[in-house]
Amino acid sequence: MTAVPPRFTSAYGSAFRGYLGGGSEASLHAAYELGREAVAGGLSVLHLAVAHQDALLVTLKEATHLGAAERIARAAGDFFLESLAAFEMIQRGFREAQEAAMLERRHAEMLRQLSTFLADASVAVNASESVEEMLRLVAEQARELIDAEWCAVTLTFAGERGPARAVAASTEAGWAAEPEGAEPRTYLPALSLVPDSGQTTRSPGGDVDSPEEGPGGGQLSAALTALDGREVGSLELSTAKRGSFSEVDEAVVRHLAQMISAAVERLGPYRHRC
Amino acid sequence: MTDEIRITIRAASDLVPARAEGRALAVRLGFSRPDPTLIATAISEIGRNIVMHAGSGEIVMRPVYEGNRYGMVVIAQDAGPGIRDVHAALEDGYAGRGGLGLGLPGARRLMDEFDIASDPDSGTTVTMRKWRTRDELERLREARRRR
Repeated sequence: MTAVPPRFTSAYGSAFRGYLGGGSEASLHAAYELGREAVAGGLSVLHLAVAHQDALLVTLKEATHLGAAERIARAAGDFFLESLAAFEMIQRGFREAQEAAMLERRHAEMLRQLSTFLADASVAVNASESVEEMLRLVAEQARELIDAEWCAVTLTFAGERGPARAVAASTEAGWAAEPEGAEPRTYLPALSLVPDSGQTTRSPGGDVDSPEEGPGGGQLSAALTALDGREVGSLELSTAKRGSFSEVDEAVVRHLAQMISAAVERLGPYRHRC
Repeated sequence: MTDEIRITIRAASDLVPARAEGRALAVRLGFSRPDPTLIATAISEIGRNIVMHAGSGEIVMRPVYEGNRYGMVVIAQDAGPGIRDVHAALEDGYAGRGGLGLGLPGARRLMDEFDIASDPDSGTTVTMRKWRTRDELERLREARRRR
């Protein structure tokens, strides 16, 4: 590590002496600006600590009695606190970035796991149980991935089994939004909610009195489409825990819808007939 | 008698009284170190924004009380050209700051709540809050003082 630039050391010492002389906010502001200058100049917090200690040692030598030394030490603490404030902002930014990176890694891992599950050939072997299991897992994984309160995955089929749907909700409010009389919970009349295939729709706070759209608080939906372009179902999410869904959430939902559509294609007997 | 404090911001030198008032209010409200420093720093950053981008504005501070907690709100207002992309302005690296993490994003990180509203017609308003929780001992002391 390079030494503290002499100009910075001198400026710090001078500003500290100024604070010792008057104890004013202007001097504390100068301390803050020095910290800001250190950040902008690429100095480390250790450089700042070295400059501070140098300034403190010089002034302590001039203390003639214990009281004066104590006053200098207290003032040094106040001054140093102000000069560190800029580094505090940087450190909090670094922590935020770390958390965001961890979240992104977790999301990537979840997507990978979901992709592996959906691509598993065994899903097509025992189609009836596999559809339910797949939809249930997808709904829960999608809800967790997008950090939503509620998620529903619906497949619209004609034929013996009829439509299939699974809902995942993190709260009682989410479950309560389900249409009444739906038995069993994972099999419900399909909803034709989603507009153009291959696209997502995003809307702000929804109407809590429209249970078929899920609880209020923002909605995100994407169509599930077969290779020939026909709609085979939908993926819907509602009530972002963070307050609103973002463009990144929209992109992830689109990706999930594509993965689910591909898995549905492999479910042989459940090919779309509508 | 109102506890509201208003500081006109026209130049960098006006940041000093704004910091001083913010720090003093924080100390009066019982914020312990280093919170008064963090509040003064956040005021510096939003005040600097006013000077750099709008030329002039105002910083208003006052105590806030809400159930079990109390704190202070700092509102920085200007009638400048507004921020074209508020979302981007709250990201590090906007407006040539080189990703240092200072400025508006830095101020946001130091406070508990941070809102920004901006448009070309009415300028920019930044509202920040910092809270502290009233503990049982403090409530008892307050009750005793009122008697």
